[in-house]
Amino acid sequence: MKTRVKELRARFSLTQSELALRVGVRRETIVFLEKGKYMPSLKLAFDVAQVFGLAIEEVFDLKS
Amino acid sequence: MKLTKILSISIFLVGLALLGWGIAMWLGIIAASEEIELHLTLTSDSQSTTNAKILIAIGLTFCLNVLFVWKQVKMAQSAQAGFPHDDEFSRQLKYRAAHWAFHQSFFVWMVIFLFSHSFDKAETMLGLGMLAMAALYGINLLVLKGRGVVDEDPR
Repeated sequence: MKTRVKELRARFSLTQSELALRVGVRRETIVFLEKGKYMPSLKLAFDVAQVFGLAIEEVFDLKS
Repeated sequence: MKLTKILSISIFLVGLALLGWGIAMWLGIIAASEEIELHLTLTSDSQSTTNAKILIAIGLTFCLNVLFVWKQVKMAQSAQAGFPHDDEFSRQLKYRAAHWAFHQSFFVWMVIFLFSHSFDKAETMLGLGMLAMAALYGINLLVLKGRGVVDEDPR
């Protein structure tokens, strides 16, 4: 799974810890999310996309 | 060694084990120490062998509990910073590692029973099996952390 979380996080000047706090998960989860090693739940995907003000499909790409 | 002393040490160690890695790990340590005959003992005297076994068990239990306390301190620090103890990713890791360990443990028990004639006591077999199950769970956690959780199928 490909994600734009790292890129968007840099654009919004957020650290992994800050993003984790905003969406209510541990920092480790954000690390795995950025590496594409974790397929998040719909709720987490929605929460992450909401932090960046984007739609889920603009942050996560399931096809690749 | 007096019976009261042995009892108090046992209660102390069991308390530590329960606090830390759990009684399964404690039983495993005892069984393993029995099984390997503790080659560290220099004499064949039964009293010193018993003392060495107790010392090894104390040492191993102490190490496990240091790890446990360190983990608790880290968890307290992250809780203070506002992070949750547990989240969907960590739960997925635990569930999947336990799921794999459950299936793998069938084979472990099969192998243990195949070699049952090599064990002097049933407790040794039981302890080793439990230790193997705990170890499998830990190994599976590490494998899953390396692999990640990228599918919805828990296998």
